[in-house]
Amino acid sequence: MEDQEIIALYFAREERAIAATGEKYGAPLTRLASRLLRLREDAEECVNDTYLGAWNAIPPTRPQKLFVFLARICRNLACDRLDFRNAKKRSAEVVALTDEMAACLPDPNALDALGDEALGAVLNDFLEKLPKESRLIFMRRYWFLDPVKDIAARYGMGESRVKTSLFRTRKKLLERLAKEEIPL
Amino acid sequence: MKKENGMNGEKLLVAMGLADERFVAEAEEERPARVVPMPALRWAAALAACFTVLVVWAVAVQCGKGAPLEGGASINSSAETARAKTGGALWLEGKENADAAEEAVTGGEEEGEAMESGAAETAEEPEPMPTAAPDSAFGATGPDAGDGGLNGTPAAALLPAQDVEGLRTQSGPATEPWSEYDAETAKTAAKLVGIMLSGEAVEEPESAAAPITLEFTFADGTVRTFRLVTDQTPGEGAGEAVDMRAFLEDSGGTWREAAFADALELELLLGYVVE
Repeated sequence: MEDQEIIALYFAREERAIAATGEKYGAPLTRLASRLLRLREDAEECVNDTYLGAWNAIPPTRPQKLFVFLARICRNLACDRLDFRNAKKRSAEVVALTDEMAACLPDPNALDALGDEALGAVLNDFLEKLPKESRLIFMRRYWFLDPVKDIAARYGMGESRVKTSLFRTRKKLLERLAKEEIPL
Repeated sequence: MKKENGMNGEKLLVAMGLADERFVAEAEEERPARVVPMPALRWAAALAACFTVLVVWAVAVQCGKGAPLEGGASINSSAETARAKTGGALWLEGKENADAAEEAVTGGEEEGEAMESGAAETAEEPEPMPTAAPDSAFGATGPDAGDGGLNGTPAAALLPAQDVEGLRTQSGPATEPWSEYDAETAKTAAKLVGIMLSGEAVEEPESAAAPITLEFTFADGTVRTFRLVTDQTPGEGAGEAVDMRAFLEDSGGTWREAAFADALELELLLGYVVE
């Protein structure tokens, strides 16, 4: 079923919209949630909450890209469920991801004062100026939380190339965040 | 986002969720024009490498077999003339002649004497040589050899380089038994990897012989040096000797190095001498 048809079902408040969404995007959403949440039950529950979130948001929202819309909800829900403070509950992949992101932080306290909106703007500006290939790899790694191996397979390149690209992009992000003026 | 303890890796990872929708959509939808799985690529590269090696090997083998010693027959057939004219010659012996050569060496009229001579100063472990007359000294592998030899047979004319098992040189007057020696009739010659040819300058070329040194380098690192002395007396043979020097001068007067595949060039040079 096409995305617009599914969205039409949401607008028509037909429950078949949930089933159609799950049929088409259930697997990738579960995969995304599983990368943050260790337990499969948690991931499935997160995906179900995603459907509920979509049901509540559509209408009035009419997403241009249904999967991106659903994935954003799913990612946010998974992040909310993730207990970063308890290392035992984190998967090794999440630990690796957070360590990699921590390497991009020049001054943690200063960035915390930046606020979500400003930080989002900085990140979007940073992503805008990145070369396309670097941006794709960076987003796959830190938005979709893909393993390096999967990114290499997806784009038909070696893992070392992916790692090198990620390393350079993190270095650029560190420089970009270091230059960011902190509002008083 | 949590706000305690300042920004950290976890919060920045969560903040990545603030990325614009178009970047998310781009990352989800963009695919490179050519997506070849890396394992498949590696297999293809391995196959291509194997194919290349096979092709190179086949070409190398073909080139080796296809390089006939064109002058071989003429050298042998004209050896008598060569001795009379220049006193210097070199033969490349094929595998087919190995037994005959052995028999010729061991079954000569006289026991061989060491090759150590003025013409083979640097030769290592010289083979004993028959002290017979020149004809018998060449034995079955020489210019007067029988059916198994190189003389005029098609095999001799098309002797592939890699089939060479022995080298026989003659220096100085052909009538002197010490002037002839085997470079090595053993199979080490088949492992010959290079030939260096050099000419030695002589102060009075009209009266002194112009020695030409041949240095053979074998795969095992053995280097054997031989001197090919041309009869430099004015008159007969002088013209050829001058041409040989000209050949060397064309090489800058320095050592001329040739791959074994280029042995044909050397052979032609020597063939020109004996002619």
